[in-house]
Amino acid sequence: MYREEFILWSIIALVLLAIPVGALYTAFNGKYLDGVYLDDRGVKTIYIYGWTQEDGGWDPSEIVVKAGEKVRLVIRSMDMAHGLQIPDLGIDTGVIKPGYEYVIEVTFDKPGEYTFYCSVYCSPLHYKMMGKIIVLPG
Amino acid sequence: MASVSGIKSFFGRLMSMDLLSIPVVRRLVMHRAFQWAVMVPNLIIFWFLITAGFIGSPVGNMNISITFVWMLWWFALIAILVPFFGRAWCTICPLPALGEWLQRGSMVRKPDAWRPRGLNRRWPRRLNNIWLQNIGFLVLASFSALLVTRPIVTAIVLAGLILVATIVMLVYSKRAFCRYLCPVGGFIGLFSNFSSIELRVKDGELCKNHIDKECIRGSDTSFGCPWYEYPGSLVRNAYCGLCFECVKACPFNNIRLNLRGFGRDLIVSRGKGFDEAWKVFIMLALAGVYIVTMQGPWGWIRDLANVFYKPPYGFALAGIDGYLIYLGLVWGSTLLIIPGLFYIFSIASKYLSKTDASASELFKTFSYMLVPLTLMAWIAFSIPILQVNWAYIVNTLSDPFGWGWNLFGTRDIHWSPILPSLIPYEQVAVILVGVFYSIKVGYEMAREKFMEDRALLGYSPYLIFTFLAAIFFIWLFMG
Amino acid sequence: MARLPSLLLYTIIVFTMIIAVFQASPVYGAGERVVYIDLSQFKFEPGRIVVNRGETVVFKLRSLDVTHGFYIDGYGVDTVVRPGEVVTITITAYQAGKFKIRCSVTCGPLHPFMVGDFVVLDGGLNTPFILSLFALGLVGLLPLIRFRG
Repeated sequence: MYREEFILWSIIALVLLAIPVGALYTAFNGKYLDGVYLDDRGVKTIYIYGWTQEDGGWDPSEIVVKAGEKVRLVIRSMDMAHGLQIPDLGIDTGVIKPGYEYVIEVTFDKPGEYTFYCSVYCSPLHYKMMGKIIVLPG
Repeated sequence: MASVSGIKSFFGRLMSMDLLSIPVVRRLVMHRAFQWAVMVPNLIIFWFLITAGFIGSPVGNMNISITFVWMLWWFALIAILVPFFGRAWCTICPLPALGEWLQRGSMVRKPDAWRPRGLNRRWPRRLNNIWLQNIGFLVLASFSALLVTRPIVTAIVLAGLILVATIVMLVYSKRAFCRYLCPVGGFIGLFSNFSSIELRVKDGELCKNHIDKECIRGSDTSFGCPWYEYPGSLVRNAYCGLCFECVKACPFNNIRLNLRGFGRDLIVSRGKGFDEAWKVFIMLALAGVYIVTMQGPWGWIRDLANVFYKPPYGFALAGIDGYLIYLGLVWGSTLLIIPGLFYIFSIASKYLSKTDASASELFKTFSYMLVPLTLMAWIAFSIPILQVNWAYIVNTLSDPFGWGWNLFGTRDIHWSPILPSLIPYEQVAVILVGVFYSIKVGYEMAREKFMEDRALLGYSPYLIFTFLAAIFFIWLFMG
Repeated sequence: MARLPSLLLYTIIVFTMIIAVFQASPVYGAGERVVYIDLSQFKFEPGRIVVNRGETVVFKLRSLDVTHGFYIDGYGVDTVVRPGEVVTITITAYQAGKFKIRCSVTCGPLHPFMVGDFVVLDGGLNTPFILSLFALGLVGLLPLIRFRG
């Protein structure tokens, strides 16, 4: 095989490899996180992914935080428009179109269980699309 | 009047111009790196689309794999590349790039003592037709509602095609995959018979008397035709992949790439076969089925096509039951009903024309006259895809994975169709173009096939068939 | 040789002019029609609505499952229909022909295929359709005249 052609194909192979690796890296490096992490300012950040109930509903549907702790909830609609409401706190994000996110910063003062619902009618099982935030005593 | 004839002769010359006589074009296609240089960027783009399909958003219109493949690529292929440039897509198609490289061991240069790698077997003679492509296309068509809406399905199919192409090219010689297996290749080939470009030899006698035939065997600068064709006997576009290996090989500079009028190859009787005839009916019937299911007002038909449909009240045919009916409609209409109908019309034609040819012979010959109408029906089907949903393409350009990026600031451009009330008129106009060429081509066939005084009479059943098909499409768009 | 393209051209011109005249002619026969449409994944029920030109059409829209959109080609109607509410849209059907009704809010996988028909007749006739068939006849017969040999 010609050397220059081998080099060319090696470069192409690297580019081909770089595409999924780069995409996955971006996906898991802050853009597309599962669960909980601390953001730049040290605020606990929780990603909540909204799927229609038929496809699994809120992910995660159970979240544990400590009372008095400031948390950042990043809510993302994954398949169609959803919204997140926590009636006990009077929070409602309104419509979040698929692919978009909505960020709430909230501090839970009182320990207990807070239920959250989908606030946008998304599917026939919309009314079942709910989860809970368990606030432990700080 | 002088100026009118001047314009006419200018167009006449333009319409029969040999593109390879333009020095730039010739130098381009003569260069060994030409095909490589168009395939590789395309391969990288396709790889990106596959990646997006696997890990990007599951929402079809937010994932670049769906918008680029099923809106942009599909429209460009069916409405621009195939009618005007024939198999030009096959020149730049990235699916066989890896396989071809492995098979040749080199792509840009031709090594001195070159031997193909891999098993290099001959393609089985019994499969020397496009039936596998017909079946492959129908299989893809069977779950098209999933294919064109779910990124992961598109990604799996594209990746699977690359895998199959690579394996087939390592087992069989040359571009066996492209010619005999690729589900898209079948209809590109058939419809490129209609296209306004053709690759032929300048002087057939020269080829006949030439013993070495580098265009087949290859030369120092060429691998020889990878599509199992002999340029000297090319009379149709169907299986010429426009790879320009023959141009690189020919020592006499005897290959030309001509512009020409539409639909010429459809009249050529050499090479016609029932495999291609059925391809016409598959495409014609599928155009109807797709327009009815995807652009029609009948929701219950859409429910049948939607394998995941759950009816609200449990009594309707749904899910697998309904889907099986839809499958029956797809396979039955394409393989039995429409060809059967055409056969009945062929029997009528045989009796009216009093010809010696059998009805199945007429069936085979005249099925090709439906190619222009079928192609135009597909174009008409594709018009609203772009005109209505263009915003999704622009959005995904900025946010290819549907993760909230905004690379070019076009992510939030609102969905708004461009002049949607004109769409039916455009669709009807396109259908009328198809009718014109179908009837023109068919009439030429009739005058060749039938006796002079019986030509129009023998042709009349096919005329009626074409009109009925056209009325059906116009009714779908306008009625 | 020059006949064919010019004939085609004349056909197209005449075709367009007739349509233009029909479309621009004043609206007659007023009246009101109420149309109830149920929207669900991925259909409009009924999927085909036929009215007469000049009528005032009142759409009463209701979603049976998820949030949908209601868009009519060429009439500039675009609205969101959430389940549990009845959305009323009133338009005057001033242009004749067939117009697609589309869902404009991503409502699930087959959302791009959620379409319906809104047909506006002119004096009981679908003029563009009739004219299309007329043009079909002309275009289809042209090759037979031209290539008689």
